[in-house]
Amino acid sequence: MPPPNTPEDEIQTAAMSYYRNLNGRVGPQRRRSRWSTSTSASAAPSPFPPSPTLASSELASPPESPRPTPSSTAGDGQGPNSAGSRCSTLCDCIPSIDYQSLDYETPVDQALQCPICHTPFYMPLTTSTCGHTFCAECISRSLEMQPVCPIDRQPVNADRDLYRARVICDQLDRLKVKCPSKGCGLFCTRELLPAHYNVYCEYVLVHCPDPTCSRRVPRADAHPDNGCLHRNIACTYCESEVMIAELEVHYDTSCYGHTAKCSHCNAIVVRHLMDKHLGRDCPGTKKYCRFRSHGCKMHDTRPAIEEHERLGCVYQAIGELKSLRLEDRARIEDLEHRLDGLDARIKRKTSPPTRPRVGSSSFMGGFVPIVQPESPRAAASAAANSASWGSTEDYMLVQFERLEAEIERAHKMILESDSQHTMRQINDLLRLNEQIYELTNRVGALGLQVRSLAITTQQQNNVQGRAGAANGAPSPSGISSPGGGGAGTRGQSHEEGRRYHSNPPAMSRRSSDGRGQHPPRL
Amino acid sequence: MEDSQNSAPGSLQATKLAGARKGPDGQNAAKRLQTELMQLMTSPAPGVSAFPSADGNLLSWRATIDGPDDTPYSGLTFKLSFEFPSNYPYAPPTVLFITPIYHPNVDFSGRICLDILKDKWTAAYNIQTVLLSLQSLLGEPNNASPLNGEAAELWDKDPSQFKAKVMDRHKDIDED
Repeated sequence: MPPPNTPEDEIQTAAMSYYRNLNGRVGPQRRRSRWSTSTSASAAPSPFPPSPTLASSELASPPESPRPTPSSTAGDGQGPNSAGSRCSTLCDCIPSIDYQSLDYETPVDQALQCPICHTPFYMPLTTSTCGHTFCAECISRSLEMQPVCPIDRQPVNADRDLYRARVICDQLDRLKVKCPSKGCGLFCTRELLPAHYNVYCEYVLVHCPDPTCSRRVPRADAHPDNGCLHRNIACTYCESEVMIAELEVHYDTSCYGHTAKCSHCNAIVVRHLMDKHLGRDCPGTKKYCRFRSHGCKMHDTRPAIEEHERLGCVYQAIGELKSLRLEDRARIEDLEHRLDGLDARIKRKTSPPTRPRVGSSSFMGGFVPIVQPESPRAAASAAANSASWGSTEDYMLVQFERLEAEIERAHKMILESDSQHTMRQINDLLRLNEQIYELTNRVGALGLQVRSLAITTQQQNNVQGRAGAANGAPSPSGISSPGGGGAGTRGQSHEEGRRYHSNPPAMSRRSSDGRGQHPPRL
Repeated sequence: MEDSQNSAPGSLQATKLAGARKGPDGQNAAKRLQTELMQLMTSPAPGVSAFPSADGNLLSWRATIDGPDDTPYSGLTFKLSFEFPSNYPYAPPTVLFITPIYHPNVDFSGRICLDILKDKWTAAYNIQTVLLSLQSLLGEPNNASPLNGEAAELWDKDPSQFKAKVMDRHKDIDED
């Protein structure tokens, strides 16, 4: 960065160094210096001559850097056009925003106002010793006078004890401010104001597009194609010389011929507003009734038409009726269309021979062949293809209900046959059981007979044995107890007698069992 | 947005800062005084009032203070003049009593001995705080550094005579 080479730059650098030190940024200086080197190269007697036109400009503007003369810009290799466009967009040549005189949308909280300038902080700095906040410029000037905090007189070192409190900056950024350029009236957050003001605002006064002209025009007019707006032209009406930039003001105020008599109503009208007057206000011009499109033939002066419309144009009612009729017709057409659609659906539903509803009555009777749903399903798919979703759903629903009923019935039948089967089984089983009992009884009876026969045979053998013993033949007891004597035989016969006595009741019981009156002893 | 006016001073800020520094101080002072006038109108403090003098110069004001109750000045009203320097608020205004007042810290030409109007001035003071300080000075004079030695002595010794002197001096101007 070249060292500051003008007194102005020195002052500016000194003023800036305070905040710059804190941020370590020197961006803007470079551009300034470039301006000053180019102007000093053009050997101007004073690099920053105060411009009389600028002195009368509206804002409390800092000294402006003069625009380079054509020779100097040519030396820098910059065309006049580029200079003109730069001036319309860059901030160096336009009056800077005066943050202390901004209008805020709502009253700003006292806590966000600098106690020195009593306006919302601009570039706030907070003391690290006591935590009080001031605008950078305010506190730096105050510290020049006294190196203490203005609130509580704590010593403050300008280089060490000040810092930028982010939260305050953020709050300030969110404040809504009015654009300071005259006529703009835009409200935006303070954060966005520089961008709007320096680049977009159409009301900011920037350099005239003509590089040889040092005066200013609103940014909206500063188009390079416009040329210089500060040359005089002859007024169309009063033949006095007027600057283009001030033509409108001239028309509205000083122009002798700026008014004219309206040829229709004899009113005095500002000339360049004549078209507006004729189109909107003039009571002399003729116009049509508002309801001309409905057939009103009225064509009269403005007051007559207004009166006519106020009293009520007949065609107004006609127009209303017409629009109502159109509405009705549209509705009828819509209904007709829907009716056609419904007809088509009904036709489609009734035409297939195997309709679900027709079939359902037969379904109630008995079994339904599984094959039957095939054809309705095909019909359903056809219906789906013809994009009538409602009918397909209806059909599917009917089909579903039918199938459900069928399943129910099948279930019942299965249950019934199951129970029948079980009953039959039980009956068979009972019969078999009886037969088994009978057989068992017979077997028992046969057993008894066999035993009684065996006993009889044994008794016969015994009798034969006694007879034999009497004859020296072996006794039957000798078979069971071969070493038996006289006493033994006597005891044996006694035992035999007991067995004989116990047997007959058992036998009789068995025979009674043979009748099957008691449950079998299985 | 990093490049806002608060987070990083761009060229605008530079010109603004430099412009404000180089610009006429009177404009800054006038701006600040306008703000103060607005604040005095919207939220006036009881017992004090101030308004720019009639000649339209914003650097010259007239103010009034009501004498505080329970002091010898109770019920009296005092007029003052404020003359602001062009570098206000970085330098104190010159404040004078127009109404003659018998007070230990005010001399007979109306000059006031108050530290905050001299070496203890800071930029955070404003018209309202100065007026309130003066109002409290009426009830609590600083008798250690008197401009009116007699008054300082009487304040402690003979309150009734002090009160009489106050009324006497105040009447003087009323008869004028």
